[in-house]
Amino acid sequence: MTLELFLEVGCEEIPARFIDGTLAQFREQLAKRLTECALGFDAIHCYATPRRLVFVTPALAARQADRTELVTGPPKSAAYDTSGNPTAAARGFAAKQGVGVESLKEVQTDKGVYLAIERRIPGRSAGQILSQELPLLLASLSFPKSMRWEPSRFLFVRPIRWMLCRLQGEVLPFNVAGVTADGFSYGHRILAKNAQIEVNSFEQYQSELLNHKVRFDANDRRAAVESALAAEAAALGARVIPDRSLLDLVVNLNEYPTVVSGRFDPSFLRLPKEVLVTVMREHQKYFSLVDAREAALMPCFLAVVDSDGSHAALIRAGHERVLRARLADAGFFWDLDRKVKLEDRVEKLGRVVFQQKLGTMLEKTHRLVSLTGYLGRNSKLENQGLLKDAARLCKSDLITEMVKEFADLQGVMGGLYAEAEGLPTAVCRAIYEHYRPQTFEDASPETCEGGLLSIADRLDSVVGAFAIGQVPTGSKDPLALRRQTLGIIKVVLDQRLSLSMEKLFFRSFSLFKRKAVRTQSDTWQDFSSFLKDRLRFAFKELGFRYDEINAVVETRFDNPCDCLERLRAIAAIRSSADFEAVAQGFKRIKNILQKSGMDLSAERQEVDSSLFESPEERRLAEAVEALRPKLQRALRRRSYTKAFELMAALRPTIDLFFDQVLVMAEDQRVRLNRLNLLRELLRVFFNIADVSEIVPVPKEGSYVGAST
Amino acid sequence: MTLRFQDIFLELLRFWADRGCVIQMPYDIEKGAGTMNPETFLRVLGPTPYSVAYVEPSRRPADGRYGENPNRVQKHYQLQVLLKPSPSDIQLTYLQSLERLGIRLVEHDVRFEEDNWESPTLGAWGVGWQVLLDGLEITQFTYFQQAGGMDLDPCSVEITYGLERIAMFLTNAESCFDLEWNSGTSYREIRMRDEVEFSRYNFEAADVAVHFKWFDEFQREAARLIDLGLILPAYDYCLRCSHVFNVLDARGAISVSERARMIQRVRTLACQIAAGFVNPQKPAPPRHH
Repeated sequence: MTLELFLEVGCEEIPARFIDGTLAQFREQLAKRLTECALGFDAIHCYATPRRLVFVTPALAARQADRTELVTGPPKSAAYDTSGNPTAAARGFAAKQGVGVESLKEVQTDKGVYLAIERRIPGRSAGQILSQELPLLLASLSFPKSMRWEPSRFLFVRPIRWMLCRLQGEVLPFNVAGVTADGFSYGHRILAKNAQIEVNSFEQYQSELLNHKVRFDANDRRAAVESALAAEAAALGARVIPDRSLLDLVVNLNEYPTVVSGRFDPSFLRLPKEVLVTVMREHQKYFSLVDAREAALMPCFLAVVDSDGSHAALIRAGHERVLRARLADAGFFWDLDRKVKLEDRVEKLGRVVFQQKLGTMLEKTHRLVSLTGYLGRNSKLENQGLLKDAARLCKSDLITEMVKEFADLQGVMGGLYAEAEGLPTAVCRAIYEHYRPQTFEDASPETCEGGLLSIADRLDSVVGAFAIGQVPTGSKDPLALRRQTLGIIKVVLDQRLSLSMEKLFFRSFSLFKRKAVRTQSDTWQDFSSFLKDRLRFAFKELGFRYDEINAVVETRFDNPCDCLERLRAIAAIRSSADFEAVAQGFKRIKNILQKSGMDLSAERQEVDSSLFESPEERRLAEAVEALRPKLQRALRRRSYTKAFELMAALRPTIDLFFDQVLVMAEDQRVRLNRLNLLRELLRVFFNIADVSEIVPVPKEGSYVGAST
Repeated sequence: MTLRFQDIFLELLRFWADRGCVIQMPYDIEKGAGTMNPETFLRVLGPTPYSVAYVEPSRRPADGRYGENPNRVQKHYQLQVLLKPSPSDIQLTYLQSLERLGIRLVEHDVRFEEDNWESPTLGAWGVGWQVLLDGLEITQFTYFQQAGGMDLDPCSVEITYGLERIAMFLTNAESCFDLEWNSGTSYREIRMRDEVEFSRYNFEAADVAVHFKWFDEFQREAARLIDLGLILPAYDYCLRCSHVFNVLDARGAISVSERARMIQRVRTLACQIAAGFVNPQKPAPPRHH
């Protein structure tokens, strides 16, 4: 027999951002505890609104299976006296277990034969277990921010106001935070006047809650919101600007969402689209609309409200009035901010802290000007002066009223204000896009100037943090240095910037002067291994396999674009039979060299052809010599595919060599000569990649799901 | 029923008086929020239950707009309710108080959206929401967790109504200056000159050097009174420090490093005052200068 477990925890409004994480934790914890208690279950379903967390286990075992436990007593030797009668020890044990001595049995253990008794332990019922486990489970949930509110000082995300818990229809009472679980739920606080509802089963709950204006399943609410957004937009001849994270948020801000459309005065369209969308989104959580041809923003919005839709006109008027005041503020900021040029704000950055130990934003600005100067020269940018101008002005918008109000608009506002001042397009664009990309999936800046400024900005933050010893450890990365470094890599790769990361690091480090508390070489050591790690991550994200990444990155990683080209070449050729065989051969060679103590990085030793004993050996040596100039040419031109083709073509020569030649010859001079030859062979290719790292791909079938 | 501005706070005070609250007066020292009134900041400390409601003028010098912005003023009025310990039906009671003002909630979009409160200068923080009525923030709702750096037990709940916002909502006013304070007298008549002159004072005329001097003196006086075990007078000077700091901030006179240091000085006072309030018999040991 199985039972339905159904729990609803009624709370005051849980912040939308915590809901999904809370459900996941509960599911995981419940599964773990049920498993530990050996109580079988089929599934755990979780639902939530801001006011309730709902958990259902449709088929839970009614009780644990009974089990037997062996209780051992005294050793047999001590249990009977010489005449075979039970001793005091045996009688005592039997009495303690509540049985006669004759019921004791003998068991063989490591230490000899002992008296023992098998006790049957009846399984506990699901109800017994749950009324003990559920309070512990609720207490074990953790939240980014939790609170206390009642005398037992229970810690939870928001106050718990009721609990409904039924096990196959029976109330399962337990107590948490001064609340006892019973059989009642409550309807929508306003639309259903918080009516108390007696609920016996999850099935009944589903219909009752809807009758009481609660959509308890976020998927339901999402579907309702999405279709209402589309319908309202269509009625206005408009399209909604898609906003996934806003949708995720509003779905968890309501129990009974409907959509109301509203308008604002078209005169506000004089403000930049970015500002209008941000005001609507950040302040009011409204969706913005563009006309159906997706050209221009419309003076309209869609608000997701907690209402049954019967008083839309009143609600619309309220939201329109609030937005009007917000837009008036934004308009005020837009006009006010443009009265002071970005250039005239630069000095004021001396009042804005960049980082306690790294000084002010003005100091950072000076470093960015210097760093972009270097970057501009090294990427042969056409008009390097414009990039430096952008660098000087890019942080000035931090002290505009608009950015103080909407931090997310940093950079964007700077670009828009620069445009309004009539500065060159390249300067405006670079400022506008220099905070991109926010994530590895986000788009890089489109202009070269924007890309270089983005690199400089992040590099300065990351190198600065490393220079004062703020290195990310484990899961702790408060300054988001990992994300920022990935951003650098992303821009470098997207814009195909051939840059030496080491030189860039040293340039950036030197700008911190006495602010650095660590030495340049210590900092570089940490930074370079951090960078290598991030490169591996980036390449993995791009779909390369781990062995390809090993082969390429271990050789050198100073120039990420070059890494990418070598990776592409190796990924393209790796499945060819010849290449795979040669890679295997190289692995064998590497092993032989390592076993015989050859230093792979030692000075080149001339191979002595007079010591050759077989034609296969001579042929390999000739092949290596013939390859050397071709490979160097290929390397100069970065035609790595060509280089790998040359390598693959060596297969018959290498195969024959291993068939016919014993490397570890008796004669020491011959042996050393052969080892030298192999080392040269490895070295001409290891400039490109350590192909011995390549692991043969298992043939059809077993390859599926292989980890990369 | 058309409520004037004064009717709103009269109704709300009556509503909370009927639920057992002491109706208190505003505290006679400038402050940024009703929370800083000792009836909240000090009463949340310690074990003694207390329920109180009062109107508090709140001064935020940097928010002044010379009376030219319909929504922003350097002084506005909060109606503050503090309930200790927090009752379990407090959200419902709060919603009833809105209905008392004639707001038919079922016709509106009412939401409690996460908004946690923190005051670094008071060493205080709480967890709660802003209450939105058709998208308009009308109330701050906070469960206090710490004040003066001390964990609170029992926990209090604080409800702060923004009176101008609610009045504008009820009368569809586009500007707070258009509100009728009572029948015949407008908010503009009562408050406009105040806004214009204090905006000029806070942004242009306040003597920076004198304010820095006052900050130092008030801070020293508060510290001296703490040593004497005169906790309530000490708190007055702590509040004065806070306001002087806000004026200097509006004047743009506080540099980055100064800012952190000044906040820390006020915070230290607030924490010592909280400790002294809870344990009056044990004032902090006298300092030697």
